[in-house]
Amino acid sequence: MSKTWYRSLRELENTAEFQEMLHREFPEAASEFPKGLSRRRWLQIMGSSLALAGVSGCRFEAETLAPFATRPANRIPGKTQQFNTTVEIAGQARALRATSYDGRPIKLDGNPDHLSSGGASDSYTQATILDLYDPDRGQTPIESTGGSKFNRSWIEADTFLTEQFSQFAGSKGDGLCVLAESTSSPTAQRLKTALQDKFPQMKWFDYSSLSPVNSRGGATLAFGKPVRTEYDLESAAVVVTIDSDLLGQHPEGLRNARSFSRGRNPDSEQMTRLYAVECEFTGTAVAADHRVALRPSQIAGFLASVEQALASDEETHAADESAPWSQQVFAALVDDLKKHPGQSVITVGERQPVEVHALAHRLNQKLGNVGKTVTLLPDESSADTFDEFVTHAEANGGSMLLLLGGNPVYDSPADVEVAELMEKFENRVHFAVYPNETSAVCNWYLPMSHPLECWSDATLYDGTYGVAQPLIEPLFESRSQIEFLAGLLGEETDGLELVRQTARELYPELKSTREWERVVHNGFHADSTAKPITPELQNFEGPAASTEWQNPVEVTNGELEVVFTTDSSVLDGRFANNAWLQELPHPLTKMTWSNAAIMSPKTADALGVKDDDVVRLELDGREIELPVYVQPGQATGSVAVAIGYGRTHAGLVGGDVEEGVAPVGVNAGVIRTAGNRYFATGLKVSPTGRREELAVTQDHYAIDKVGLEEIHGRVGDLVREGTLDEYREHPEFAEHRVHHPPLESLWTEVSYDGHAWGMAIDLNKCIGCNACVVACQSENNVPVVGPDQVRASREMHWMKVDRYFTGDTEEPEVATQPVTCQHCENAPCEQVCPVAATVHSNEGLNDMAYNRCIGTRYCGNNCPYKVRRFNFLDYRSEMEAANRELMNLVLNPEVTVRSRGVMEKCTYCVQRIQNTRIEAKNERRPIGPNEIQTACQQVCASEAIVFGDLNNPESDVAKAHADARAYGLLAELNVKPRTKYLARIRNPHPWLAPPVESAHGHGGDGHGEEAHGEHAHADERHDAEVSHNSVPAPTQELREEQV
Amino acid sequence: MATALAAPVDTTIEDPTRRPPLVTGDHDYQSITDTIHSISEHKTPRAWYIAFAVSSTATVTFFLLIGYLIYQGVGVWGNNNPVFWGWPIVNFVFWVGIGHAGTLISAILFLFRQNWRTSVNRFAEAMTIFAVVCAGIFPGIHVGRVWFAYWLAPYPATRLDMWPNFRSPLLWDVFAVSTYATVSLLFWYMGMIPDLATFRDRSKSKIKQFVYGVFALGWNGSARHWHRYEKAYMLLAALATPLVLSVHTVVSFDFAVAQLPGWHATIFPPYFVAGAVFSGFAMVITLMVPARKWFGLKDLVTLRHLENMCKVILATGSMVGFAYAIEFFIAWYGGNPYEGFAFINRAFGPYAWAYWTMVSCNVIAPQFFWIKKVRTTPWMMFIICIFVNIGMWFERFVITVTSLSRDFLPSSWAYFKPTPIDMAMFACSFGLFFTLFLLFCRYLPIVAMAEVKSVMPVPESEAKNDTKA
Amino acid sequence: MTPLSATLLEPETTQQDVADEPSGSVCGVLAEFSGPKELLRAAEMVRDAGYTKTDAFSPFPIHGMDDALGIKSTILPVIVLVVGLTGCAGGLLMQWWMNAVDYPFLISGKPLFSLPANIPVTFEIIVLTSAFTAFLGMLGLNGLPKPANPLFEQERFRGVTDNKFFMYVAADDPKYDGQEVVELFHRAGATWVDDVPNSTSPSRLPGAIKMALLVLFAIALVPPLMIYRARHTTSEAPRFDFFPDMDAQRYRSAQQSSDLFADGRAMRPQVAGTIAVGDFHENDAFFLGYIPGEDDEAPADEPAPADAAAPAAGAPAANEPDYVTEFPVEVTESLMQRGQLKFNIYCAPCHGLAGQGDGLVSLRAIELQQPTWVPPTNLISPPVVAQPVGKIYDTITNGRRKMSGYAAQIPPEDRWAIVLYVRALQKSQHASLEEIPEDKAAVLKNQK
Repeated sequence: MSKTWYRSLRELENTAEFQEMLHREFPEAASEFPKGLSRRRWLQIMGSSLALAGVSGCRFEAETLAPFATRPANRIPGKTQQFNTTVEIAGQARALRATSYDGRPIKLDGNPDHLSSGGASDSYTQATILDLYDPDRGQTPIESTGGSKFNRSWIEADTFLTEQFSQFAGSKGDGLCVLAESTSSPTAQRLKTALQDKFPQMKWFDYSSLSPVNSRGGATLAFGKPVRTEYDLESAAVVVTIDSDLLGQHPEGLRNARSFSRGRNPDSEQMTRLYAVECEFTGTAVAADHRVALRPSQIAGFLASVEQALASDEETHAADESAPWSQQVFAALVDDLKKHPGQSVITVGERQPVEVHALAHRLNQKLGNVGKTVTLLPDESSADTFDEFVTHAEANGGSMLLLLGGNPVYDSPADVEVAELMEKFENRVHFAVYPNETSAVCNWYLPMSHPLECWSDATLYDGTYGVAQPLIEPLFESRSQIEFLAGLLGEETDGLELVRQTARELYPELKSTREWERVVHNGFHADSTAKPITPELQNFEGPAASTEWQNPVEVTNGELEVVFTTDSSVLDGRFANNAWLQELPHPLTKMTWSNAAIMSPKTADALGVKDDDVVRLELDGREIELPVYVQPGQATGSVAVAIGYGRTHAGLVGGDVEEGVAPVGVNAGVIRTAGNRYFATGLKVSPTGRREELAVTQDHYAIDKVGLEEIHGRVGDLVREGTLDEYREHPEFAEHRVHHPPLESLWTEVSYDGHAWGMAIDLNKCIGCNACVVACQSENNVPVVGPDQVRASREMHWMKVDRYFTGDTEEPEVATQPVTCQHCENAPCEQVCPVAATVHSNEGLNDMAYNRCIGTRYCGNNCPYKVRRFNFLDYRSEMEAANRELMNLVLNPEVTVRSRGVMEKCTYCVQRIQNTRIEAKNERRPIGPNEIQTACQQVCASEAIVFGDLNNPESDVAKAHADARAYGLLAELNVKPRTKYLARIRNPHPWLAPPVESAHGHGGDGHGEEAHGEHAHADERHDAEVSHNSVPAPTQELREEQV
Repeated sequence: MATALAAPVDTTIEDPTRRPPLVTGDHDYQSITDTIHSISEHKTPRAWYIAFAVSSTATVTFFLLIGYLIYQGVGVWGNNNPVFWGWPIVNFVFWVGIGHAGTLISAILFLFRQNWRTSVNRFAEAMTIFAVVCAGIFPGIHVGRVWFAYWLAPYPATRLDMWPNFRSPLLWDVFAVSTYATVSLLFWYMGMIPDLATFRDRSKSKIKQFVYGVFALGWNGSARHWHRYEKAYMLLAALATPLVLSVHTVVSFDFAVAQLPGWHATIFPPYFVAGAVFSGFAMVITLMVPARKWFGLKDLVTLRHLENMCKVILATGSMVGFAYAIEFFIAWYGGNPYEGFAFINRAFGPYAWAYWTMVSCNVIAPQFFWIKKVRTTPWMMFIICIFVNIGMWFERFVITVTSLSRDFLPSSWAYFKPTPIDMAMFACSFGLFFTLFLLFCRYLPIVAMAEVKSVMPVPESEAKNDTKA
Repeated sequence: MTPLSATLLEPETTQQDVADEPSGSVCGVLAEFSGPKELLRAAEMVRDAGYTKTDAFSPFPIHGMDDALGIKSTILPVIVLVVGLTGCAGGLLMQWWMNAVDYPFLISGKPLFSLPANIPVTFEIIVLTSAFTAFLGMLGLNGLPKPANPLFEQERFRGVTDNKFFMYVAADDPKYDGQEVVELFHRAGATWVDDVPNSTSPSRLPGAIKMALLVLFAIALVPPLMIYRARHTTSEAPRFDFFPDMDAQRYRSAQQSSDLFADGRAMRPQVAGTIAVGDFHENDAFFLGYIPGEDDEAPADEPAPADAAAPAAGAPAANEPDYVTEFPVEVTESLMQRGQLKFNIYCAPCHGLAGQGDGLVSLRAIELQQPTWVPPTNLISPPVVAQPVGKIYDTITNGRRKMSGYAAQIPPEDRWAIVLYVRALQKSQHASLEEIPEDKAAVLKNQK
């Protein structure tokens, strides 16, 4: 008996479980993750939910509570806390506010107290939280010797480093070379200088694939020193964006979007007018009144011509109808600029060369915008010195190359063989959040902490000093950058202390604990914002004026222009392993999980390629192969390719060749050389004969003629638009666009006396940036389904941003429309559910009882908006993989995670409604008029979405519903949607305005809607066509393939 | 032996003054019993074994596929958003439709005193029941969480003591189909009792005697029993008649009550019922033509029977064609742009191929039945009926999928692609159908002997037969 | 014989009633006829002869046989009608009760009960119930199923389901006389006549079958019994849950455990030095109870900056922060009451209701002579009375000696309320008579 007991014990000691148990009981690290269990991309292993049954057997899980022995003050378990912090993404600091649940951050939003966002945020910010819990992040130091990798502890790593640096101490740092990803962190700067003092011979280079080289250069050319520009779009009358995504990718995109949307108020006497001159369709152009698609090489000439025209004081006059679109817009643009001195803004995108930026500065100066609509701020950021690194490395190499963040091997220009350069150093150490392509050629990889795990600081765009406080202790054996640098210096490495030290030096007032705490609490130091400067404009040679942009383009293969775009999902590739972003539809193409060769229908036609055709792109000897996506509005004769795809060492989501996970998309960097980092001419496109279906969430297939005509007929009714004049003539034109019999009910209608939750979406403000989609995903635990399921049109996003192209295929107009559950009062989905799984709350919410749902999917059929989402498969099974468990922590504990076979949809963020209700109840007060914010509303930079209680006349939403522009989508079905849309108002230049037809008695005078039955629809078709500039016959055919 | 009717007669004469016999050939009561009973009594033919092997394999595959489906989730089908209902529902409606001929023949024709029904009704009823079995399976496995499908029953479920929502057409459907299945089964079994008794009394083996005996419930042909039996049969027929019409009406509500363009139409109930009878009779003929050949039932199931059924097909087929036309007219006349587009899209959109297949099979094919030659030539009617069966499946496909794939918001339009699982499941559901059918042919009276005897012409000189003994 | 028939058979005598009761050795006379017509004729003759307990047997129903035998029309239709109507009422009632009364829900803005929506189900229920009645009624009235029957023992009789026609007169017919009946049959042209002996085999079910049925029934009972047992016995293990679709949630909710972290907690501690929104306070007097020195955070290496040198005047001994002496909150009656409430909840267990350090816990600890027990401070002792309010507040917040801080449990306002109440207690213990309001003083005097 006892014998066997002993033996069994001895056996036990050797079992893996026991070892693991030991490990968990007495761990070195904060946590342990079993690795390498399932190393296939988890998106491919979606399977049965029975697997989950396996986890918990046939009984409920035995739950154990694990509270703290002594409860921390001012924290109530299960009640969320907010922390202000600062996070740097690609060298751009963002003032953020993180929501923390039981000490775990679960959501990121903009810091409402800081102007840069005013509480809004973009998709990158939203998705950053997912990276925090990404098990593919570096978890331990890794040393690779003799072609094989070994997990090391920091102790071993430190021994290596100290030994190295003790040598450098002798050699004054000779042979030591640092290539650091550009950062705006003052502490990092301080430590850098400290290092340089300690090791004078050390070489330090800053590098970022996204560093604003051109705008810096442009400013230096114009003013002799780099400056940053801030715009006041609210009071500007004319805004001209030159190849620039002013409201999107621009560092101050959020701020711009906000002030722009405020300037777009059709009820004010002056409504901002936006001209967009660009190559590929940007989010900004969605909001534009007039857009000209030009190839990037033509744009310099265009702006030069503008300067010329402005200089000449002859009377401007409209170009005639027959002239090319670009000329018509040009005339109007010049006219507008002349009419509004000091009230215009001209901004140039990073893609354009230095002279164009300088020219824009000069124009703004000449037009007297500077100081009014344009503000200049000093730019302290350190210049990009990658080229110097290249020359240095080629010349002498060294004994050690230390890479702080970044991924040069992947994202540096193709003609620079970084990998080979690195070989010139005996030791290559890569210190980064993710092990990536660069780490692969280093002999040491050291894990860097996620920004939410460590103390740090940063300088915001407007020069404000921001502090980053950690939301959670590091999940892995990682260190923050400043701790690491301090370690190299041999100083004590308490992050908090390091940051405070900097703060003390920079701002004496922060020596006081109270002041310091104030800054930590606010997330930034209010008084540190940079003061505007008025530098002297230098004399310089602007780009040569040419009329080349005027003549229509001939598509000649081999002479095409290729444009490299930073992607709205993966940016420059750093978000490649972020599933939320990978599955986020591109605002215009609606493409997910890949990049493509984007070209206009005319171009595609000339090249004889169709959607999904895989083509070979050849640019001076280098070539890549990727599928075609035909996109109206891409400048004719140009091909846009997004960078940041084709990562080979991103992780199990973005691709990891070592683990046999194929890369997502194709790496466009292969044809992107130092000479032409942004665009290049001389591209040759040749079909390979292969086809590859792109995962697109809208227009899932090349649409046929019948459908296309129908869409053109319908768009006008769905996304209702009018010109400013039309609006002023008869404000409620939107209401009258669709005619229907009186909407009467057979029954006595239900009345909602208490709260009546409702939403309003202002199409005039929405720029289709998609942030709301990710915000919703993060707030409501929306699953990721992967490319195959997207192809099968089973994406799960609760919120979709529809976009419709109208008009000419080469110069189209686009209409965007965020659509989510409309919470109809007469919800068609409810009556057809046999088990009453979806019913109406007495506050007008269309509730979905997941636990009652058996998945007949009848509600989905009967939903006219098709906003219901069904879990066709178990889209969560990836989380069961042991090495993925960590990802569960990103889930919002206040929202049920839906299982397979269950229908789900937007809930108006009911959990937020309830939380606010509880707070109000505890404080014995009514819920404030605009107290509740839905996730999509909170994130929206242009304030397009408002939510609240329709029964409260104080609330914004009640006001919006009362607005003249308000209309219900498909209201003619008498479903009584609780979400209303505010019609979009375009503000075209009078010369380019479509003829306002005396819209069949729209005046609203006397004639009720029921007055006309049939002919109304005929009219709709009619004015739907008119409201978008109708097209000449020849392009009709082209138009039909697309849209 | 009686020879009165030995000479072959043309049973398909159109002269109303002369009534052709319902049973031809040299037959008396005895021989009818022999003909039918011999099918189950004699040694099983090899052909049966082969057919059974094939169909039962398919059946097993069918259930394996269902297992896989439940394990993986409905994602194994092609269903997507917006086409939340794909092939499974199409198959369901298809099978339910087929399951209409039987009860219609036994009930409605019975009430109309159509004596010719006697020799085909048993057969048709059996087909009905087996079709309904196949039909019942699809909606069952179609739901996302099969294991909770029982919440459809009016029973206080989910710890909330919640009841189902009686406003939902889908719930009406549950009641309609289950009722229909039950009543059809009753009807079929009741009609079979006297014949089971015959089998009981004729069987040699003890086991058969016992089994048939149990199911014959001790029937002994007493006049008093016959009296109540006929009354009950009449009542069941009277009940089943509205039921038959109601079932597909309710099924059509699943679509008609919804708001979807292309579904939301008041014409659906009559149109669906006509279609159901149409497909049902087509299936009867498809099965009957070979069956009467193999089982030597030519004398009982005469050309006249087949011809009558062809006439029904012709009539209902034309109704269906008319319904198609009316749909378009209403779509245009109603002036609802969404409705209008739904039909333009059907005829000229990406699913035009399906639509035209449907039209040619359902509207054009049956028109050949105007020709008497076609009506009276088994192989011809067989081919046409095959077409009708195909066409009717496509009808359901067109209604379900094309309407869903393009509804109100163009942004949510999508094309539906069936997966191999979809196809395999549909194919294998036929396996189940034929398995049941083969078992029926082998072990049960496939013709209502008692009823046939009651309508067969009585040989004059039959008294003699029995004087010996 | 099934109960249904038992109740319904009175009006309609059937041949079974006859055959069942054993009257002598013969239970009746059976005759065979060559065809339907002959049988019909025979039936009429028998009827005219005045026999009532008679029956005819044929492979198929023979028209006119009802009159020929004088069979009364069955009441089956009436039964079906009644049941059908009941089904109709029941169906409507069920839907109304379920959707409009017992569990009403708001659906598509429609009324809770409206006839059109409820007609289909009602109709189906009508059909279902009546169909079953028709079938079972028929069986019941016919006394089927009936396994045994003396006639079946006649070899010839087996042909009745094939092509034979029989006529039968029961022995217990009032006018029964074997011979006459036989002759009558012969006159009627019977091709064969014979007596039917009483059944030798029992008319009941064979024991074997009974047993089999019983066993089946018993087995069928097992699952429900097991379920009943499972539902009505307690167990250590969690409840059964065969389909844990959404019962097992993947997110980590408040205070749940997680093996992702070494300490097994999903809840993580707040990182030192971080400040949540709303946790930064200007008013030190209120939140700390003391005014912190300006430069307490300055690290050792650098000298304390000049501007933050002098602590507030009148600060007590060194290393003792500058406690506030005045209440930073407005002193009101309601605050006092709240203070009493909170004091009695949080403090009284140790310090005693009067704050004399004689709380129940303390008494018990002393009674048990706990060696490590430090008796709680007597709050009304002079040293405490001398303490500035700020210090008492600080004590509650951060604790003293063995007493741990109550910051987590008691929000600042309440802490001040408690301080106020403590002050009141102190005053009450050392109050002189003058300090007491007149009326109260009177009461006290009387007690003396």
